[in-house]
Amino acid sequence: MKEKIKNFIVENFLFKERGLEDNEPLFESGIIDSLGLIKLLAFIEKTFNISLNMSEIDIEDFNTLNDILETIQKKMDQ
Amino acid sequence: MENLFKYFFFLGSSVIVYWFLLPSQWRSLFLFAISLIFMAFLNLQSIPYFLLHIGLVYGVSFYIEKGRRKRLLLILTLIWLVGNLCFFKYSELFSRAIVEFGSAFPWTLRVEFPTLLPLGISYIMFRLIHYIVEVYRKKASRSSFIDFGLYVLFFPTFLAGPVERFQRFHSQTMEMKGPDLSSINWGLFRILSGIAKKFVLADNLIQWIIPVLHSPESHPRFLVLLCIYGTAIQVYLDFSGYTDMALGVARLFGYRIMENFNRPFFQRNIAMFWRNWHISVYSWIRDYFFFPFFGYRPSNLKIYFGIFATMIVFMLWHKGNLNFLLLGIYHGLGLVVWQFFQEVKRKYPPIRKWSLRSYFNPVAIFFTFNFVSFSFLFFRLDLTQIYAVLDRIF
Repeated sequence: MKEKIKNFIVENFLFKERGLEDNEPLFESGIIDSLGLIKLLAFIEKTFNISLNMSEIDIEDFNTLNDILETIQKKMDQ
Repeated sequence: MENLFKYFFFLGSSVIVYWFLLPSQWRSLFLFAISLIFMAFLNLQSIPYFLLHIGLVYGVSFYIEKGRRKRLLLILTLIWLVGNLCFFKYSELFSRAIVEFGSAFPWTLRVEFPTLLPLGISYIMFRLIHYIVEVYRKKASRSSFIDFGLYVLFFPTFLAGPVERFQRFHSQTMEMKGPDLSSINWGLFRILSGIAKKFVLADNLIQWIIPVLHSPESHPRFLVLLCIYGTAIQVYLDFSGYTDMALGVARLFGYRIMENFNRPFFQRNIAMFWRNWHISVYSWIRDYFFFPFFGYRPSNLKIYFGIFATMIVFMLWHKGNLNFLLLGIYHGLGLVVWQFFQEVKRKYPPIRKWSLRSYFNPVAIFFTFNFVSFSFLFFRLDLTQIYAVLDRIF
């Protein structure tokens, strides 16, 4: 699961020019902006077959790769 | 000037009582009380209105927490809060429109809407909306009525922001320790910085700029261009000066409030500009308007439309007139074009490589600064005046 999300971020937002640390802040560092988050959420929904209700989304739940994994796991457990 | 002295006397006395004369468990009540007193000095009539809404949202939050018809309650509360905000902000506009419409008929139509806008209504409503949504999302911890009221009406920031997030504010209320000299020093420095920016620089700069922009044909082109840049800088100094004072005063009471500006004129594209200008409100609109309405399973077209709509709403929130509608369209288009350029860079690596060249950064910053600076004319001039300025430059 981690590798799929990491590859998506590296290909679409880092253009394969470097890797991504698990705790690297994605928004503060400017890697992903608001629009990028929407694309990322669409990718997560499609890839992991979960539904992310936008009214429940908090941007801080997707701040690092680890945060994203935790959020997805919680959603899958529900 | 007399009011400024009164304010600082009020502030100094409050800080001394807050830290040195009160037991710690009374601090948030005291701060809530002086926030009400501050509001009373500015606009006494607003107090019952806001207390009613604080009570309403606080009460509804209990039912939402319990899960009883929570979605319906959330929607009804949001409609009420947004409706109030729109009513007070745009009532004068609507009443004028209705009177003009009525003048076309033989009978006289008289419509009177209240024009007294409760002071700080936008920022207070933003906090209330934020809180009730976060309660719904189970992200807001339970607080006392006083602590919640303090968050909403915190006097350094209730009038014009920043719009701090409840959880960050509340956790500071709960963890407040004793006076910290470095915080007080920091606070005093920010207050002085804000006074310098707002009352010394911004207020004097506008005296130089406005006469030039009001008669551009009488001045050299280069000076008019400098005044366009000066307008953007003046708006920044004015607003960030206020923010500095708000953050400084908040820190005197031990609160760290979020920053509202982060070198906005040094950003390399319009998206980064908006992430660093009026940060608290821009992030609020992103989280509570853009994402909920346009973030779900979007197509590119939906994203572009969403960007556009968000910027128009954001600008019309400033003021409901043609100037700000056009400003919303201007910045919406800018963001859409930038987003489109991002897609082009993804599809065509040579273009991306070109954008990474060392000379591109200053060029991008210069271009972004110009794009943004010209838009600030809409804050200060009417359309005829803007046309005259642009005609002089081009």
